[in-house]
Amino acid sequence: MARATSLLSRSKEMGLFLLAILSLTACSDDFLDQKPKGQYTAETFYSSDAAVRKGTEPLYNRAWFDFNRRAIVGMGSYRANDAWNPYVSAEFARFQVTALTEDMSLAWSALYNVVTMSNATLQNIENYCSSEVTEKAKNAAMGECYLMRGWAYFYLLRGWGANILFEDNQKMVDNPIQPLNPEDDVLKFIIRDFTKAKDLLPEEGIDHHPSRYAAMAALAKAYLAQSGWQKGNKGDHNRNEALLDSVVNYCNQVINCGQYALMNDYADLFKAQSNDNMETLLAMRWADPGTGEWGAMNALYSDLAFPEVTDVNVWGGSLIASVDMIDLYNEDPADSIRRDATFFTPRKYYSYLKRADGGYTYKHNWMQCKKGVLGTSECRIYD
Amino acid sequence: MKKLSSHLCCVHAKGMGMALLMLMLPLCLWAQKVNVSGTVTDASNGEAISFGTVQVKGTGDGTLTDIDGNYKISVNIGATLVFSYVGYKAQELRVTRGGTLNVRLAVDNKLNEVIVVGYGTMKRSDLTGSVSSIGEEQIKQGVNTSLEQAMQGRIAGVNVTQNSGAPGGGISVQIRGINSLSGNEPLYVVDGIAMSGQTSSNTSVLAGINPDDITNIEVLKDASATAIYGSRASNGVVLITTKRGQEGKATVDYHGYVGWQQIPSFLKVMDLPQYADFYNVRAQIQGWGTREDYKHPELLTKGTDWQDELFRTAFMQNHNVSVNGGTKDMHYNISGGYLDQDGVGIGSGFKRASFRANFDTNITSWLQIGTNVSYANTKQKITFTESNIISTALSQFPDVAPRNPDGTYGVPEVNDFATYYSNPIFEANMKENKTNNYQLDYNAFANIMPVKGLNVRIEYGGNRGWGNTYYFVPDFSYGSIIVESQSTRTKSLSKYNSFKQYATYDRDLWEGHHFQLMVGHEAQWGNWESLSGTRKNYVSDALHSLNVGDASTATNSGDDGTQWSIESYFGRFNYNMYDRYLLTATLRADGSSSFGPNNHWGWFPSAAVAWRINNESFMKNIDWLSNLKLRLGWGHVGNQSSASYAYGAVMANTATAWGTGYYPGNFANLNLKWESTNSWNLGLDFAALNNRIEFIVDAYHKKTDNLLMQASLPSYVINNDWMGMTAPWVNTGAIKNKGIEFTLNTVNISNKDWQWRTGATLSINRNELTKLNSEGSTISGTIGSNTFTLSEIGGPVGRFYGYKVIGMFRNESDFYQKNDQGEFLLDASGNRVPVARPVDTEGNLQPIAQNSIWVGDYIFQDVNGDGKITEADRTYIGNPNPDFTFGLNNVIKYKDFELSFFLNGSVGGDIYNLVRQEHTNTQGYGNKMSDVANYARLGLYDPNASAADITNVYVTNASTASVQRISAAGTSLNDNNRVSDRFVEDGSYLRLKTLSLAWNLPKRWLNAAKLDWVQVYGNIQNLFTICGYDGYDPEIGAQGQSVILQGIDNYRYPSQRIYTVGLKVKF
Repeated sequence: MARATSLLSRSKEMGLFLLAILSLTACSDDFLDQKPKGQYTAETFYSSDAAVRKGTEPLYNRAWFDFNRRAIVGMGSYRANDAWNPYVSAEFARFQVTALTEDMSLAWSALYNVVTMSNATLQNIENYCSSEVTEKAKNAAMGECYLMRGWAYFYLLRGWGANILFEDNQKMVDNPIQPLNPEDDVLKFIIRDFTKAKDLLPEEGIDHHPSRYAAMAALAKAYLAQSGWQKGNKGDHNRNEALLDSVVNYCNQVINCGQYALMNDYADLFKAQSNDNMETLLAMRWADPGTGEWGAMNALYSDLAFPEVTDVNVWGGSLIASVDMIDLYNEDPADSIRRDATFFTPRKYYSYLKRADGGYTYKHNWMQCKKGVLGTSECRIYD
Repeated sequence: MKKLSSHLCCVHAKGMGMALLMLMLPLCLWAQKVNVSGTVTDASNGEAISFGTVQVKGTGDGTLTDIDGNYKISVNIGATLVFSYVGYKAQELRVTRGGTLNVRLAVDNKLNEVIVVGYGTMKRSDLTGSVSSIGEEQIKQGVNTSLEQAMQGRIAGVNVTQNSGAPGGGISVQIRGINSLSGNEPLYVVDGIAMSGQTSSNTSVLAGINPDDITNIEVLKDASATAIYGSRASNGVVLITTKRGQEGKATVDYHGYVGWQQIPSFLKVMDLPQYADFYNVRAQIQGWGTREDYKHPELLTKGTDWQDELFRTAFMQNHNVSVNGGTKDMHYNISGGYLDQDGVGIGSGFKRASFRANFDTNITSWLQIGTNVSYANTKQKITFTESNIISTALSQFPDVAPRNPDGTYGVPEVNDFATYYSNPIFEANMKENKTNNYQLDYNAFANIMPVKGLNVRIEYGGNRGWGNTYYFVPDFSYGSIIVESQSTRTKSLSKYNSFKQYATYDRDLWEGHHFQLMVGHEAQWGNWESLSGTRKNYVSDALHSLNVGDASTATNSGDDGTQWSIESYFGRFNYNMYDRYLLTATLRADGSSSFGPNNHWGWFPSAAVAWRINNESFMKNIDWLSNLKLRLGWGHVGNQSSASYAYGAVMANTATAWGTGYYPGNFANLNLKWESTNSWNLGLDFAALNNRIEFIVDAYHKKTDNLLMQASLPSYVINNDWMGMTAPWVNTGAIKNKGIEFTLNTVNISNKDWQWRTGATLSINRNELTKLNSEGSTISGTIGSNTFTLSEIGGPVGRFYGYKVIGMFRNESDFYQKNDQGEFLLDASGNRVPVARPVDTEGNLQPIAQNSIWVGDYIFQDVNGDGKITEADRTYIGNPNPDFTFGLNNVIKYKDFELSFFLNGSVGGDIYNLVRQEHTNTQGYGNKMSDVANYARLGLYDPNASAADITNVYVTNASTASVQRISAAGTSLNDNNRVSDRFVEDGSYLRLKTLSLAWNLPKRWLNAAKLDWVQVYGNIQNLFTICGYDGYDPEIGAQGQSVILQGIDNYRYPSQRIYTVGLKVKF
């Protein structure tokens, strides 16, 4: 018994001794909370107005990348038959597009990417802005997110019809199998987004970020679509007059706000130095090709331009004017301004291309796409 | 206060003791010295014990026995001599007079061996879990430039594969199957310092460790043994112990060898006449491209054998010197090693210079301190593997010269189809791609023994790693390809720190009841940072420094890293009752920075019991039985391998028109937590005939839940093109592993002149994926855009997945289905039913035509029976996981000679031969495997009728053709070389990994040189490999340690045959 007691007391002693050691060496509570030092975290990033603005800028390039890369030409020019290219996404011109067409699924995924990126940015701005961030900057950034999301759904609606509407990305992670929302609802959602954007965006945009008029223009376009997109509506001439009035109203506001005007020379629209101009309400904005970053640059440029006209690494040039397009231009031979600015015209001299070589004269006997071809990388230095 | 005074007392008593000792010293000086000599032998068989230690107790004086067991020493009368040798029980004898003193040492039962178990040691006999060891002798057998190689085939349940045969190349170690999809490598603990075996680099994490420094490797396999390592234990734990100083005379050991390495075989590619013939046929089919110089293939020379140019006999050398010694209270071991291994392929090689010093001293009877420090510099040349030079060499045309007469590198000149390959010899020689890493490992410890039975250990350790990579491509061009010069330098620094304290209390509470309790705390933290720069436009190849490049092209990047940290509390309780009933229970709580505040902490318990049946009284009379132990263990262990800060939301950056912009980089998952494995182990240890037969069998069942992986989500949530947020890390899915493993060690012969020992292992594991995030989810293993494996619920991980080839279209009738009688099947309208063919994008069968699908093309199996060959017809075509792996070692000693050979092998696993897939396509350009020379040749029934008439064409060599017909490039819509079972081969092999003959030089030759022992040996590594595999080598391993990309021969650097001669000297 005595032995047991002494054992007990000794083990008590030892226990205290060990406790002492452990308490001396135990780590502080934040030892296990480690944050990356090579990347901002959502919690720490939104610490100033400038940071919040930087946090929306990838919505102007990276988010749209795979939509802009190829499909935009197929869905736009090929289907409209203003131009075509037998080598790149020719299915669009041949009416052979299926769900498996790679450019189509890339575009679809890219448009949803705009949605998820806008959703996440919105949520981050709502939750993580520090007290340094002004209400004005917050509103402007959130307005941009709504505007971008609205546009993405607007493309999705017009390209694919019914779509999955979601504002909380986590819902999609928890259960990715969601029903499609009918077209009417998608359009309502788009108008709601554009309206929010209109209310949140500033009167004048800062540093090429959009003003509220960019949202109004979008709203006008969406209302115009909605005016003829009613249930049971057949034919194009049966439109909702009240909605058309809104269209007029918003268009008037945009036109008369005094911030925008038409360019004097139509051809200037397609020059590198006019990348930002007074006609621009909202635009995708791509990074300098010198950054070499896939996803950040305008990859479409590689398809449109050809080595002869630029020193940027390109391989394209096969997008050529359709016969219908040429016929349209030929209806009015005096309309050479638009023709020459949009398609290379044989024997035409372009003073603003290859400026180092004293300009460029197009010597081929066909008409390659001009409007997407800005020229050499020297154009990076706007003058 | 009471405690303090008792300590003082203790010190006081010490002081008294010292004083007494000093008083006695002069007495000793007067003592009479005598010479004692004799022979030390093995008590069981009378065999001499060479290099046994003979030591004067309580002093540092002593000697070693010679090769014949003789010793001679001069001591004082009354001194005590201690005779000892590893594996024998030490014997103490008091010297009463001079003269002969012969000693017979009894074999120490292996069960009394003390082994490392993690935060402590245990007697082997007390083990309850599944723990296997290999010792120095096995580590040194053969040429093992890295430690993992020494484990291959020697430990049951451990499957080691070299992912590359390149010097210093990566290795995968699988302990008991595939437990995890995010990281399956074990935890390595080197002298108490832990590191994960998972690595993103192409070398092993143990590359910096010199195998000569290692005395023991212990592998903890089941969860009851590993659970003390908690959150990092689910893949098993490998404990590595370096040599420590021994009491006694200082000994110096030298071990060195030189070797020559060769590649065992070349792949068979077409020589110039074969290639010319193939080329001519294709030119004829496509209607253009005939070459005047190929007109008479039979007149051409063999051309360039690019593999012969690329591979060489490569030299290697290894030297190691160590000094070991100590007194009763101080021990040291210092060693230095140097390894220089050229690769058999130009542009590969590995060098290691290493240094290690271990030191420990007893300051007082209750305080011991010590340190381990090691430093290693490893250099690896990786141009060969990084540039995939094998592929270039197999593709390059045989009519191109490796070097032109003027010394420049040859490139293809005449080329109608604008396809060029660079000169592989140029690439291997001129591209710089190498790493130069420095690693410093250190730890310092104190053992405090305040009262009897209690040992408190405090240890601080860590490492620093400095990594440098050097990459340079010179300006070069071939054909229309122009490559710009570019240099990239990357520096990285890794830090790891560990601070731990644990106390062990050991005592018999009552007679026959032994208790041991260990409790401890550990904090670990680390960081990795990097800096990298690139410049272009180098005017010369002479210098590669960034400084001399074009500053206007400079780009750079760097990362200050993310610190990671783990804090742990752990404890172990052992109870031994009458040496018959054993209980071990452990508990560890780990807090990790890998998970969010909700889930920092995880709890990992284990329990195991064992029954030593042979110690039961009813077994006492069975003399022949040395050991019989039944073990049962259970444990719950974790795995935390996910990306750093995987649970939180980070911002990604991208270039924008405004400069750098930021967007949400990933989906956060604050609920991310440990992947956990529940495992059961049942084992039996059996030894008989005085341990001459030892047999161990273990069966296990493991289930891993909450597998850590990135969620697989549809492309409207996660952009597949990496343009948006990356998928969240989630805990989803489960894997089951069950297996059985056997170890048999026997001493077949043991007498004075002869000794023959055999060791064998056999491991069987079955793996099954039992759950994924949703019912239909699968995991694809892809390389580039091709899917090679698929893992789905109900099957093993990483099975090969593709099409099945069921034959070849030999003539028109093969295009239609037939019944067993060979009659055509007819549909409702009386038309023949076509055999399934690939379809176009609209889902229509591709036409039967020369430029489409034709006679001489392969027939794929229509698995889903829809009459079309589509992606839905892919099925499982092989399994890389072997049925079983084994190792067999034999050591035969006769007097001064020792012959040993070690065989290992793997049975039942398949290999996907990607090299053959890519180089047997009759389409596409470049040289091909020689199989292509035996392409399906088409003949005409009526030579005057059209070759485009399907009814007129047939394959003339249908039964023997190795590959499909030749078609004009880009026109066969059959895609004959798609991923299919044509390229799945049996990966079973038997390899003589080591054959070695050693000779101990006679004693009389050594006396003059004052050497204790000299051994010379010759060794052949990988002398032969018996296998049915067509590629270089059936040991393939995994792509970057990925468990879903195992067994795919993606131009793996082949293992080489190595001839070495070596020398071991001891004095």
